[in-house]
Amino acid sequence: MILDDNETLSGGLGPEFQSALRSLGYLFPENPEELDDLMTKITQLPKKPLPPELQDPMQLLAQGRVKLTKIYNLGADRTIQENLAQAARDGKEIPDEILKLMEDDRKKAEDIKRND
Amino acid sequence: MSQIIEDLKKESDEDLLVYISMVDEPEVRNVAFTEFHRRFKDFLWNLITQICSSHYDSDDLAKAVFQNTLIAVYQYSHTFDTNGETNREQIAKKLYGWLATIAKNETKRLLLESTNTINRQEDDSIAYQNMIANAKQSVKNTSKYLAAVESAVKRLSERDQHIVLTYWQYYEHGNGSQAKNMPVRVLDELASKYSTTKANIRKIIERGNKAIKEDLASSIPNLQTTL
Repeated sequence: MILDDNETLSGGLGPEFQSALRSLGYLFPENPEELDDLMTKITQLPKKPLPPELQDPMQLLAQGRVKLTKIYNLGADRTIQENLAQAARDGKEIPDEILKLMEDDRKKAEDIKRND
Repeated sequence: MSQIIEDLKKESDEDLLVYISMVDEPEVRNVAFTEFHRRFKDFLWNLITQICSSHYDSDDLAKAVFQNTLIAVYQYSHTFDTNGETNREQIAKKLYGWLATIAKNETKRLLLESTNTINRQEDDSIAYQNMIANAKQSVKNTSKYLAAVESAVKRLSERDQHIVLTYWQYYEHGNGSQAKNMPVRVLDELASKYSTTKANIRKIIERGNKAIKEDLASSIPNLQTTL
C-alpha cells in the first residue's frame, strides 16, 4: 500500500492521538472533556508563580499586544548570508537587492524592539 | 474608587466581563479588568506554561501568550456568552474553555505573526461556540491511553518531542495534505533552529510518530490502527 503525505508523516496516528495530546496539555484543549482532563492534570502539578512583569494588569494594558522577539534565520536571511559570503569570497560589490533586503530586515528588527 | 473595587469583587465572573466591555466607563472597566486578572491569572498562567513547556522559547512564548490573551479579553469581553446557562459551575467551565480557546488562538497568532491569516474579531467571538461544537464530536480519553501516550511522547528526545508536537499542533484531520497544513514558516523555523533541512524535519516527524505508534502498540496490545 502506498501512503500519502498525511499517513506517512502522522505514522498512522490521527485525531484520537491528537485529542490525547490536548488532554495531556501538550496542545491546547478544544472541547470540555479535554479541558477537564487538563485541569485535573494541572491541579496535580506544582503551581508556577506568575512572573513579576505579568502581575500588574494596568501594566499589561499599557503595553498592549506583544510579539515574540526571538527571530530565527529564515530562508530569506539564509539567502542574504550566502550572497554576502559569496560576495566576500569573490571580492564583488554587494548587489542592490541584497542591500535592500538587509535594510528591510534591519527595519523589521527595530520595529520589533520598539514594540517591546 | 475603593467602593467600586469592593462592589466589583462581589460580582459574578460573567458580570465582570460585562463591566470590562463598558468602553464609556474606563474607570469601572479597568477596575473590573483588575479583578478579572486577580481571579483568573493563576489558571491562565498554569495552563499556558504547561502547554508551552515543550516549545523551545517556552518562557518568552508563555509570557507573550498570557499578555495577549488578557488584552483579547479586555477588547472582546462582550463576546462571552453564557447561552442562558445559570449553573455557576457550568458557567465557570464555559469561561475556562473560552479563555483556553483564546490562548490557543493567541499562540498560533504569535507563531504565525507574519502570515496574519486569522481574523481576530471573528475568531475570538466564536471561541466559546467552537469548544461547544467540538464537544459533540469528542470521545473521552481513557486514563490508560493517556498514560501510554504520555510515556511514548516522553521517550522521544527533547528535539524530536518539540518537532513532533509542533506537527500535531497544525494537524487537521481530513484537511488535505498534513505536510502542507504545517506552514512553511514553521518548517523554516524548525529547520533553522535545529540547523537542518526541511526534508530532514519531515523525516524526524515521520520517525517520531512511528516510534510513538510502536510504543503505544506495545503498551496497549489491542490498540486499533485507526488512532
